[in-house]
Amino acid sequence: MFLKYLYANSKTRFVLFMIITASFIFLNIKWGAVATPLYQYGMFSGRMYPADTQKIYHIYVNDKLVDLNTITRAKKDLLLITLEKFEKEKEINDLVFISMQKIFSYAGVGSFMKEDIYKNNIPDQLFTHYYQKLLQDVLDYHVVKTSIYSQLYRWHSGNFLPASSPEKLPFFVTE
Amino acid sequence: MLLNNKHIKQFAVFFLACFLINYTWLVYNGLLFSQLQPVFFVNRQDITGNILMLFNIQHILINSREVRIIFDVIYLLLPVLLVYSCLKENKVKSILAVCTGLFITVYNYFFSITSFVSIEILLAWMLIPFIFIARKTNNFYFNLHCIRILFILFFFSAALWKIRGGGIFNPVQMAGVLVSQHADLIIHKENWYTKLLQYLITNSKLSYALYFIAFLTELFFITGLFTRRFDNFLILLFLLFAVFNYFLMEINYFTWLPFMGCFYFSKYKLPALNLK
Repeated sequence: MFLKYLYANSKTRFVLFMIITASFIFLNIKWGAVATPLYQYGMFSGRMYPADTQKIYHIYVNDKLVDLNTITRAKKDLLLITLEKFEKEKEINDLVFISMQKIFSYAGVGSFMKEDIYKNNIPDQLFTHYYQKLLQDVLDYHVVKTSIYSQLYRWHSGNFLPASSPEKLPFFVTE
Repeated sequence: MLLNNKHIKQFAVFFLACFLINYTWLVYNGLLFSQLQPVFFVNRQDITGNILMLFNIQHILINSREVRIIFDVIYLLLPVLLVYSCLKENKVKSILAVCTGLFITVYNYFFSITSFVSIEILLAWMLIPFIFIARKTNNFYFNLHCIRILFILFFFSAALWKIRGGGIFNPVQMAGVLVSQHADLIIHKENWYTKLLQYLITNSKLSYALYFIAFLTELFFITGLFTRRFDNFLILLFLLFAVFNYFLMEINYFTWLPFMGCFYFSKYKLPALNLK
């Protein structure tokens, strides 16, 4: 009934609404690329298990482990997800560039996509410097020394047990 | 009761209040472009987003402090001007609504690829401004209902994804989600919150019940396509969903609060057509 009134009121609005709705449904059925502002709302829909291996970052500032419980949730995410994203940025950006170029090429505009625009050109030293400044801003004290380790853990019998030895992040250059 | 200008103004003020609270939250957590000073981005499989990236905005934002400040200022200014023009019933309102919606979309796309914030939770800021394009009350009515239907589809699709992805058929799903979401907190320290999380992970039936309730909530939103009778109940369901998500999952779905304006004002009828 609403669609009937919408059509009667404005055909342009009706067509636009139908295109947006159809695109949203299509993108969701297709399961792959999205098109802002039409997304896929997976919200933890894929199967997840407690025994799945978890990668954990241990951040040491001035030789002390940073207590993530003492900062806001957003700041905790900022510290951890920044590391996680930087670790994967090259791989993800390369993969996305290839898949997007394919889609753009279908539309005949693939040649407009210049690879350097879709990539970062950030040396590890610059990221390290950036992250140290970020730590200083978030923790609100002077950061002299920083070291970051990643370690795999697995949930077992009501607790997390280490599944690997701690490894220093290779892209975090403090020397 | 018929929809009138007063309701449009009330919705505009509600949107601005939500937006300003969110902006303050960004400032407090140092997340504006000018505070974050991003040095890299992680691209997404997003067709629109990648079209925007053709203009190299991502590198301009990374390299120019001035552009970052300008972006942050415009991001604040446009919604304020839009709501001001709504209150004053100014003719530039429609143009401002388009500019606000488009700019916020651009801002949020680049914000999401240069920060940790998922773009999905920023949707309300992108879509709600377009409701105010309408110059006449009946057009506002239709815009409001179109966005309301879109939100219902978005929210309902989350339930369908849980079926498609198989999460809903996995009895230890929520335990797995909590492990993945909070491993860093549980490993690093023990307090009442991490003890609660550990309890929920260990008692996977209880945590699955919470997951199933969230699934039912998302599923129930489909009723909104057929009737507006439950809209107040849908608002309540959404609020509970947002509170529980914030508490248990540390995900801030309060950014979708402006969509609830569509459900609140849906009870007002269109003067010309008097829809039932």
